[in-house]
Amino acid sequence: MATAEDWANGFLRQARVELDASRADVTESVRAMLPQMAYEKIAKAALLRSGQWTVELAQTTHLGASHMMQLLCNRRLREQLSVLEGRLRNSLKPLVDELEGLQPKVARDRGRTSGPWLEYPWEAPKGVTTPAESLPNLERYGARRAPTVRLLTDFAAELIEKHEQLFG
Amino acid sequence: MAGADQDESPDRAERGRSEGWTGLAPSRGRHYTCIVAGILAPETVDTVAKMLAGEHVADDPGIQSIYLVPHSSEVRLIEVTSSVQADGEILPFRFSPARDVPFKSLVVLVNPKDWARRGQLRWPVELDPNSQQLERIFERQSLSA
Repeated sequence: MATAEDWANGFLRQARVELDASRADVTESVRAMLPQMAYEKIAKAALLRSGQWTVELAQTTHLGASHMMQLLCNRRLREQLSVLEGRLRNSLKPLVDELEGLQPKVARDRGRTSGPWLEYPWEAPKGVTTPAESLPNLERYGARRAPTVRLLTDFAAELIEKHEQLFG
Repeated sequence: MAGADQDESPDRAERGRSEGWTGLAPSRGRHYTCIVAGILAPETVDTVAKMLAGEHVADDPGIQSIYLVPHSSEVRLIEVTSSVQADGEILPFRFSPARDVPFKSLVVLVNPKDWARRGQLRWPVELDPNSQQLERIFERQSLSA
């Protein structure tokens, strides 16, 4: 019988794969979707490590990343990370919030019944469109070493590396 | 300690009252609070919880209130804050002991709208405000209060 720790490590391993994929040669919309998936899994691994959460919840929700980022803005936690306060509060957290809000189920649960969102097509005034065609701010994810991509992926990698130190 | 006492200006004291502190001295204050907690009182879950709560209030202007969930060996805080969305899910994060924090700390952020309907949400048993005896350790007072 797998333990919560086993499951947490599984989520982290998959998050690492998604981060690596986001640094590969993929289209912009996929490069936006992959960090969202990775942050979600990093948060779920932490939630599972809390001992107060279940695998069932981890497999059914897409929330967690935004709460985790809010908590990491606390000075005591921030001190354990290499990121500067301004960058965490003003750049990273808004990006993670935005990506979480673009996850289709999260968007729907928050009352938004149509895109734009990650992963799925949606109906626009001129017909059905896709994230690859119409996701807002696509230019941010245009290159694997684009500043936004680097910021997201470098911080996610640090969270994976220090996960046990922070949430263990 | 003397230096910390001398820093207790009327403005600071007033700010502390306006922020709703009723227990430990308002911090400019983390260091001051730390000293109070560390020297004048033994490091208990309660004192560390109040120190952490003070830091969180300073870091998150969206916090409206903080509740302590009783536990013998771990700090457990429910923080009602507008800094998170009202998604109706309870997301408990546990953090490792760190400098000045000899206990693990478990923190749940809850949007005020979710807090208002807390009886309808699915809580972990050990954190459930419907069955646990919570102690409110911080409440931000409105400006008109």
